[in-house]
Amino acid sequence: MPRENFFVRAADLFDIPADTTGGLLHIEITGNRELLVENHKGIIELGENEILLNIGKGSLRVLGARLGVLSMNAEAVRISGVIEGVSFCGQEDKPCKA
Amino acid sequence: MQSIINFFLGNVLLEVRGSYPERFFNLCARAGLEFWDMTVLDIDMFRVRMTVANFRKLPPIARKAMCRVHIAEKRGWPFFVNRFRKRAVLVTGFLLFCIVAWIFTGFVWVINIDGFSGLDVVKLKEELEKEGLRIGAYTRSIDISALKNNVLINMPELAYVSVNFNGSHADVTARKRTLPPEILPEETPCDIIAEKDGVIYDITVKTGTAEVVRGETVVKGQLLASGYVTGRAGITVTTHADADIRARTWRRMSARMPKKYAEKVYTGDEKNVWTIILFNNRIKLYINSGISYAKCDKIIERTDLEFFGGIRLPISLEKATLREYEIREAYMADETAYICLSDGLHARLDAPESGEIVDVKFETSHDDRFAYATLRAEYIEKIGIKREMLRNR
Repeated sequence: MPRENFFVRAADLFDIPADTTGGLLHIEITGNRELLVENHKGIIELGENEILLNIGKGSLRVLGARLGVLSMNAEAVRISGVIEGVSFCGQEDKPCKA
Repeated sequence: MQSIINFFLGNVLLEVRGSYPERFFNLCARAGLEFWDMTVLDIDMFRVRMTVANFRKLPPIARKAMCRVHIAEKRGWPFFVNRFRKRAVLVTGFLLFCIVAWIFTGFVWVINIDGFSGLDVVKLKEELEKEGLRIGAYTRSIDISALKNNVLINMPELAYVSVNFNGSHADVTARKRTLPPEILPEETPCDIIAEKDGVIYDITVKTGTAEVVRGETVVKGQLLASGYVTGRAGITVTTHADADIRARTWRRMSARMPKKYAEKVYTGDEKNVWTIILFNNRIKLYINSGISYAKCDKIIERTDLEFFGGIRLPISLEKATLREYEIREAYMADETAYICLSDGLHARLDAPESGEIVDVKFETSHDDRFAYATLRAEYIEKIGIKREMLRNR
């Protein structure tokens, strides 16, 4: 059993939030103006209409207009702008780019 | 709050240009160099803000990410202070000003007394001076608690004194003491006598012997209830008389008002003269007396200068507005005079402490020179006061 899965399963078993113990991604969206992503692994691509974040297993794609990074540190990144969509990609058979 | 902290730490707006700016940002995040307000300028150019301390750690990261970093804007307290490094005289002058202002506010330059009508201001000032509160005194050397206690001991007519320092101004507030009425002890034999003339409205004697009956006319000082009580055995003893005695009393007030009077008519001419008051010394900003009118009103507005919006300095600016007027003879209509007289007389009509006003009559008359008014008020009030019995009676 992979190490990550063990922590995630343990968190499920003891009703503990998986993002704190299992290191899973934690996303908060405020309206369509602000997006907070915790436990990210860095930025892959930066653009005004698209930001691609590394989340370990795959990527998180943020689509929108006038996107920018409000603040960033090793644990969390806060993205602002007009957010139109958030999707996971690069996992299994789902490529990030068509 | 964070923006205030960032202002005091100082921050820089950076323009980052390179082939892999994402790498630059990832390296920054991994190294713990926090940044914010990132905006995309071009496909290979970004703007980002970070603290000065973090900016100093940037060069190795920029090299590693193959990015060029350029400062677009400097903002914050360290840069503001840095601007004055070469202007030592200006900074010294400002600091000196602050120090001098602070020293001056440690002394009393103005004493304001907020009292009441009948307060002996001269005596109060003397008492305050005795306790060290005088113009030029160092405020921190004055023991306010001892000052208040000693002033209250030496001026028994005062119920309350407070002293508040507002910069160089000492605000003294004094309130009058209301002395309680003198009450005879319960065991002291006494009579009840009339305090004023009247006609007895009702009488209820609790202890003692009634000496008047309802409807009887009494004069001031007349015995209403006696402290002597004769028992069934014929023995007379003295008691502390107690009775509720109400009487109809009347008060009459008259006034007259001349119909011809001097009316003040403003000519429309006015001018302002200014005076600076520095440590209670007046520095006139005009020549002679400044008053060029034969007759004028002088309206004074005083503005106290304040330091940082709260600490009052011993400097005030006084603006005196001189408004010229002429005196003309005028005649008042009878109705107007009656209204003035009525207002004046009704204002003097005081409600009794233990009773009520049951009727008020207002009569007017006039001749060629004056308007006359008479106010007659009928009261029902308690008129009995206790008087200690004479031992040899």
